[in-house]
Amino acid sequence: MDLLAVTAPAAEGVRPVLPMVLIGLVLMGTFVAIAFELVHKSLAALAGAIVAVVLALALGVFGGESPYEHVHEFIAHDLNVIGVIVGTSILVGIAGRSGLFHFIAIKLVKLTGGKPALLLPAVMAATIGFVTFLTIAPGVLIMTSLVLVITRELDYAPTPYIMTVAIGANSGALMTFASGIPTLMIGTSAGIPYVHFLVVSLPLALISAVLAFAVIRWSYRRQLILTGSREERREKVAGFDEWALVKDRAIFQRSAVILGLTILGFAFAQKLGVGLDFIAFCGAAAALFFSGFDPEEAIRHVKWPVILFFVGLFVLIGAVRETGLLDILAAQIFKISGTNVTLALLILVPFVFVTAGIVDNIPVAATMIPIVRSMIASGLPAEPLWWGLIAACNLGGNPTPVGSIAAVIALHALEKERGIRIGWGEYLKVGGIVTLLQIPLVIGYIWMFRHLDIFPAL
Amino acid sequence: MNEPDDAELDESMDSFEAAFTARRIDLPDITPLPLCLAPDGSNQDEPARRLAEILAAQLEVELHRLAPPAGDTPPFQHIVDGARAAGCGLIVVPAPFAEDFAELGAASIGTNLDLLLSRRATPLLVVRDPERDIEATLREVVLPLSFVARDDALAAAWAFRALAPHGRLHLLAVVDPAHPTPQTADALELAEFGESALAGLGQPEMAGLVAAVQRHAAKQNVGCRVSVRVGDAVETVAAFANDLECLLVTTCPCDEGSPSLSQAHALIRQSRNPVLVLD
Repeated sequence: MDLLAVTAPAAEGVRPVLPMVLIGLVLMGTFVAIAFELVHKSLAALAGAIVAVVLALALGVFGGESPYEHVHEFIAHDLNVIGVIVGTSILVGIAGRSGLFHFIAIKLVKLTGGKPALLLPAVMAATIGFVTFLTIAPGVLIMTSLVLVITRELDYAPTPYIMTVAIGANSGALMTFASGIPTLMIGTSAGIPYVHFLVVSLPLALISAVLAFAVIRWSYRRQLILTGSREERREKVAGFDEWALVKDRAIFQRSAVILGLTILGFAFAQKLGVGLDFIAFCGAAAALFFSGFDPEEAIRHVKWPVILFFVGLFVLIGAVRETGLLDILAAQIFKISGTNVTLALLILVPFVFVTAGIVDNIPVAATMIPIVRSMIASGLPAEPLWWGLIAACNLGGNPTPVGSIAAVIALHALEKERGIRIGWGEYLKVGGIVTLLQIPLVIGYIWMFRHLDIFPAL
Repeated sequence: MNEPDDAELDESMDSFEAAFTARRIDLPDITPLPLCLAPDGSNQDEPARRLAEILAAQLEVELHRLAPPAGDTPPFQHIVDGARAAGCGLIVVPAPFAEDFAELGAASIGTNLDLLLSRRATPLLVVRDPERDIEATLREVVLPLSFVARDDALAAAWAFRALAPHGRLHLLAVVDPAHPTPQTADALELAEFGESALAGLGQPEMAGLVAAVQRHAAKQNVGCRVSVRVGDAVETVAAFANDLECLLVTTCPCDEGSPSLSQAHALIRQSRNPVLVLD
């Protein structure tokens, strides 16, 4: 096979090296600042974007009569992602605060009778379920607080349950299009219909969760011990009165209906001829209108730092992409893999797992999207690469305590409320093993879909 | 962006804490007795009569109408004796509202309201502003949580009995900065003080009452909303209720020295809506 022929995109014209190096260094510097928390992530992304734009303008990277228009194009290109994030964060913010999910969580705990053998899988199942519908941050917040209260009352060690929430949430983020931000970003960029997620990523999410659960269960087997008599445990758990946290039953009924309709809307968005951002805004407007919450307060709960982070990130990545650096990286991977999808996955998936674990999966997803697009343009099939990227970006949050927002929230809460600190070493012992098992799982799963030719076509 | 929001975490923890610490409270059964309407000849007689009729129909009890007092019997005594003689379980009285107070003079029940409040043996329904929409009154009931679980359970039971089918009950918790408790002092430090803060007040009785009321509301298929406000207890409750066409339910012991009694007086004075005063 003539490799040069299929690497055509990277070979197109010769790009100046200086802007590539300088703006590439800005990208690296931004990622280092994010990874080591040198400054606030939103600030890092915005500062990186500003420096990159100044350099790009000064070095003539942006062509055309109005070079600065490129910046607007970068933002406009991903405006739908920002729209979906704003809309869903209003909606899930209201649904999360309605008390519905707290109510369900307590019902579930009561069903377990407080027995660790049932409580741990219940925590895993509820985490996945809540993240699926509420996205990672609100879902993890509810489950973390539940775990901290219930383990204190039952005198159980909280660490196994907190780790279950931290790691299980990343599997939950894989469940549907709107469950996790990296999923949303990649799904939007790749134009993957919502229903494809039910076929491809949902089963993978469940398998990865079972695998993670087995590792956590085994790693903490000595801490999963019963305390008190069976009757005492049952009495304590039965003492939970889920009705005490209901502020308005009508609000959570309405929130559930709106959330359900929005998910249906996501599923049928393509057929309806509208974007997912439109559906998300419809859901948000309905929630604001019917929930009875103060709209001002509900809108204030949108994670505006996340939006600023995205704007900065999209501009920065856009500038880097214009230099041709990402095409070169894609071409380098392609040089090794050629059109061999398995080889491409063997490079892509572990690389994304590792970098997402160190840097944070969102900037990694933002960087990898143009690289994967370039690889696809070079001749590799789209489906395995996009699904591989989605799986790796989400599950890539598992190896380290800073890899995903789930771990950050859960570990912070554990330290704040119970004074228990899980360091990198302890986390790596569990998250690392989970990752070592999930990398071959992802590659094998995608390979199987490809081999059996059952990927829904994009 | 990955920094966890401690306020959101605390809020979520507080919800679960409330669910765990909630003390089991059962709403008492109320067997309604006949109603006693005591008109005073003022322009509030008509709304008082209409409300008494609606409530009697809802409670499925008889309505007795008292004749005006005769001789030297003080009006309050006439009402208390009349209600007792008729075996009534609730007295409906108009009370002077703002500008028409002067016209009614000493013979008005308004001048006897203090005595009636402290000498009554039954709950008292005080009708206020004649301009209110009486037909709509029982569609919404406001129950200000007084932090006394036993009494509030009784008040909640009354609130449900008075509430029209498919109506809405408002449980209102007021945090008074002038009288902070250790729990409310912490809650007051929050920049945003919303409904969720109720769970953070750390009151097992209150959490238990909320649970009992919400459970009952679900069974009865009526709406129930918990609201939290910050401010002076009386002014805040009155302002909240005055924004609605509703029945305001409050508790007040028949004890002349009790601060609750003076609080009930103040609440009745400031309320435009009918006020149901319970022991």
